[in-house]
Amino acid sequence: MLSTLTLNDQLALALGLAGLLFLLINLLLLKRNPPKHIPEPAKEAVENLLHVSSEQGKRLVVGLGQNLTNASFDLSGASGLSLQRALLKRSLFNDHPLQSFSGDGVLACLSRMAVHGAYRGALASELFDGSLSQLSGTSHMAYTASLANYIPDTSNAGLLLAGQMSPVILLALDQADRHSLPAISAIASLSGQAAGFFGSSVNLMGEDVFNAEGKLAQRKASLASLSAQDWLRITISIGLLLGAILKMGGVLP
Amino acid sequence: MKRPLPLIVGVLSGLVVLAAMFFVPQGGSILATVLNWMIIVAGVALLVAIASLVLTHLRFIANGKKGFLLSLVLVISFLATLVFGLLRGVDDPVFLKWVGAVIRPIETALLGLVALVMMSAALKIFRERGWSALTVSFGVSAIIFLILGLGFLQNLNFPALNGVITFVEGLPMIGARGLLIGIGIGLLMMAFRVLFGMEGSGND
Amino acid sequence: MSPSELLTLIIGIALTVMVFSYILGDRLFFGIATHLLIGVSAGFLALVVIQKIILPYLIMPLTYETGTGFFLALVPLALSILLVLMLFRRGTQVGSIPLAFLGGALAALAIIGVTRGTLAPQILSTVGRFAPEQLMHETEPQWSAILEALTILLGVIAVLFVFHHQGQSKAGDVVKPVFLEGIGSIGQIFIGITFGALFVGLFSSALIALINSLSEIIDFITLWF
Repeated sequence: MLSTLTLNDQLALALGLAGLLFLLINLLLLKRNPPKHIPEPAKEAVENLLHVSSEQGKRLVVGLGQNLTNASFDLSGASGLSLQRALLKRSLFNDHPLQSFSGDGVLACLSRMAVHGAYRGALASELFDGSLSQLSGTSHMAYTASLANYIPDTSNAGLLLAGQMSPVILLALDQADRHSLPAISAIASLSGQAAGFFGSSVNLMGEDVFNAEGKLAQRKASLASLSAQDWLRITISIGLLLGAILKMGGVLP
Repeated sequence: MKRPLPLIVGVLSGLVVLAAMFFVPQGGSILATVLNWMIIVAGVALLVAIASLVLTHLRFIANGKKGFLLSLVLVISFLATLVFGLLRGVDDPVFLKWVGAVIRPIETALLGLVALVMMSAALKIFRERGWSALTVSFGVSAIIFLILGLGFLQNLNFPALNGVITFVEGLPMIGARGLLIGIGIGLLMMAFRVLFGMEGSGND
Repeated sequence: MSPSELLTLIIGIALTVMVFSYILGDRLFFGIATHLLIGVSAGFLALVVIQKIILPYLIMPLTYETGTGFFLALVPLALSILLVLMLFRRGTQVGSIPLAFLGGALAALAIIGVTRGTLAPQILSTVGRFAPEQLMHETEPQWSAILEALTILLGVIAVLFVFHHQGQSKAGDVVKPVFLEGIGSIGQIFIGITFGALFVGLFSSALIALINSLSEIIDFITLWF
């Protein structure tokens, strides 16, 4: 079977298996030996947002992005959901609970489910309000425009963008800037990360986009995957160096 | 509803897709069926989300919530498009022309706004983010690529300069490749967490 | 210019001006234009989904399929009904089944997609620069190709180590190992270069859109004067 696979597919299979193995090993290691993770500035920024939100009795606005199933099936579009869940648990009984906006149907439903689950978990199902997680636009422009409209509301404390977004999201960040709202962007696309670099938002780049929740909520699976990511990164780096040598030597096709 | 059922459904659907993709061509028809279901469910989810959006705005209008005028604009434009489209068909040129007449200028103007926002944001970048390896290389790179974008240097036709330009033009790919591999690593771990029910769900 | 063309032009200009009122800090006209966009695009997409997905793939198979095909067509119908129940407060929970189905399948597609479509090709492409035929021309080393290949290899590794989570204890704090800090700083330079180039790309397309919008307004004004 393996021989029929191309080199690309063989490498893909090896990486997938290595990733899974590293995750499982780190889950086991976690029980004996808690990992020493470097403090993340984004964690502090999110904690600050939460603090401002609960202190001023104002709302935290979360933009979950606009592509999970819209243009293609892309799981990175769901990267904001775990962060939403982590933040929700801390803002359920605020005057203004966390408000999330999605630009994708499935994402909107998943986010609604997360809000419902959070209230149910806190034995307060009767407080659940579907409008706390809304679809806000069905195209990236409509989604961004909707966010830009909502941000100036005086009851907002801060903006958190987490998910798959186009660089046009810069408009929402600019709107937050104009109204002196602190903002954090954790955008999964490269062009979106470049856009998040503008303005004064705390901008997460690369794989950190997927890690904000891990350091915030300290869930076992998330912590184990942070360590597994380190292992995989080291493996890939060694693989790149070895691969270059083998390629020069004509061993690799 | 108990928690294990969604977990089992999620893990099963994921494993079936993985197996079907691995054992091509035998798994091809299974994969096609599952993808077909995914497209349908995603479509229905979109309709549910749109219905929820419209219902929310109808509630805003009914309650006279601040900004209900905008909700009115949204609901009327939604219903007008839906009725017009149902009467004429979604492929009707007249329908498409009128939808385009509304969407195109707004989207183009929004993109134009981005240009204006970028100009002011680029000027503020050093004040906001300070001087670091990241900001300095960003500034230098932006200036160089703006100059290269004009095409003036390429037209000088100096072979040595062209070599340098080709090398410089390849530099952004290095950062992009590193970031893409990093994003890939993060996404892979997230996918495993979702697949094996470790990511948690709304029903936690 | 026909009356219908004139009308679409006037609508376009009015909407453009309303969007640009954002610069002045206006919320009402910008809000009207953007809510119009949200409403029309949602209506249009709902129609597309109904006519291009729901009718041909969900409803029609129920009318012509028999045997196994019919039962297979019932599965997405059942999942869809559970999703629709989410619209009601009490039905929110049942939506977790179709969403779990989607989540699991999406995760599997992501695993295949990211390993096969991102990680492996990027690694192979980086390593591919070291092919002997690219680095040597007959017996002469191609120094520019060697320099390029090395820059790419070391640059990619440096960017990878900008992100590292496990640290070492130092005076009660967990800090990044010094050598990784150094590599990461080099990586940041490459990230800055990439963002700079992306900025120029995005700025160029946004500028074209801006020029397009402004020229339409100018054309409209010159039409009357």
